[in-house]
Amino acid sequence: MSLARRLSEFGRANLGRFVFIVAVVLALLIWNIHVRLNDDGIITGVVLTPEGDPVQGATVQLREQTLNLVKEPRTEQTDDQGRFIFTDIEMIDFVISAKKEGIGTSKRHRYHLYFMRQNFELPEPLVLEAGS
Amino acid sequence: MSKRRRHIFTHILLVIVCFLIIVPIYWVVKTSLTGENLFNYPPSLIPKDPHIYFFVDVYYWIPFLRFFMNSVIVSAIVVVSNIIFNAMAGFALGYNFPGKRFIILTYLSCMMVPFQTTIIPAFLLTKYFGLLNTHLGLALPLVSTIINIFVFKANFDAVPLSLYDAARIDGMADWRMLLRIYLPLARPAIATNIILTFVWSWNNFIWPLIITQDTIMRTLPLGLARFLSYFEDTSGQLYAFVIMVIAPIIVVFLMNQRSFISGMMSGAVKG
Repeated sequence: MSLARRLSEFGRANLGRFVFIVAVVLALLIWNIHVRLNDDGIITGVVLTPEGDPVQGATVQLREQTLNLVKEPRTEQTDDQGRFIFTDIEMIDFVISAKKEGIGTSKRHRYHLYFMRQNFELPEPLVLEAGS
Repeated sequence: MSKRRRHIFTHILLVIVCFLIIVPIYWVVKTSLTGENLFNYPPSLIPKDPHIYFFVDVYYWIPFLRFFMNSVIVSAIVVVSNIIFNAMAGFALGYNFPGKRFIILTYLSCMMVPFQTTIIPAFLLTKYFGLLNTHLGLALPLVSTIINIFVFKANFDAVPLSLYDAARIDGMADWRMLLRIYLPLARPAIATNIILTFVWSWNNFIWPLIITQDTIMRTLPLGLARFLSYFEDTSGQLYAFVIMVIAPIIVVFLMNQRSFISGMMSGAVKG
C-alpha cells in the first residue's frame, strides 16, 4: 500500500480526533493572543453625580477581593471629566467604590476579570449618592 | 411479553440508568458554573447566571498549570512505558518456555497484593535510586501493570500462527516481529493500555503524596486535597477544580473509546 493511501486512510479514520485537537489548539492560540493584547493591567471608569454630571476630584478606592489576604486598597482621583484610571493592577476579583466630601459615596461594585492584568472598563459609572 | 414491549421496557430502563449516571455529572458542571450550593432549597435544575469565573479563580489561587503539567508528564511516562514493557512481556508470554506457568502464576498472585502493603519497600527503592521528588519517581510504581500485560497477551494470542511462521521463515528478529506484525494488530490492546494507565496515573494520590516534598512537584489530586484544606466554603471553585481535573480523562477516553471497549472484550474472552 502506498504511503499516500495509508496517510489518506489514517486521516479518514482519525478525522474527528484531528478536528478536535486542531480546534483546541486554535482556541488556546486565539485566547493567548487576546490575553497578550489586553494585559496592561489598566482599569478605567467614570464617577457621576445622580444627575449624570461628571465629578472632578472624587476618590476612587479599589480593593482586591480575596479569601485569605488583607491587602491595602489602591486609590486614585478623578479628572475634570470624572474619569479615573488605575494602572498595573494585578488582581482578578475586586471591589470598587468612589466618594467625595460634600457630594456623597457610591455603592460598592464587585467585578471579576477573566485573567490577571486584564484591561477593564467599568460597564456602569460609579454614581455618588448623598447620605449613602 | 412481545418483542416490541420488551424493547420499550429495555429502553425505559436504559434511560433511567443514563439519567442516574448523568445527573451527578450535570450537577457538578452546574455548580462549577453557578456556585450554587448543593443544599440550596429549592434546588434548581437550570443554572442561573452561569459564568466561568470559578475556573479563573482555581487557575490563579493555586499553581494549577504546574500541577497540571506534572500530571501530564507523569501520565505520559506511565502510558509510554506501559505500552513498551507490557507489549514486550505479553509477546514473551506467547512463547512456550520452561517456567512460563510459574511466571504467570507469580504475576497473578502479585495482582492480589494491594499497593498499600508494598508502599514502604517501593519508597525505599525509589529513595535508593535517588528518584524522590522527580517525575520518574512519581511514575515508577506504574511503569508496568500486570493486568495490561495480560491484555496484550490476549491480543497477541489471537494473531494467526501463520503470520508468525511466515515472519520466522523470512528471518525476522523477535523485536521486529513485535513492532511490525503484532503491535499494529493489537490496537485495541494499546488503547486499553492508554486509557487504563492514564486514568490510574492521573488519579494516583497516595504515591505522589509520599514521595513529593516540594509543592511544585505535586500532581492534580494532591492539588485538589490542598485546595480543600485551604478553602472550605467554596463550592463553585471546588467543583470547577474537579471539572478541570477530570476533563483530560474524559477527553482521552472519548478519543479511544471504541478501541478501548473492543480491547477489554478481547481480554475478557481470551484472557
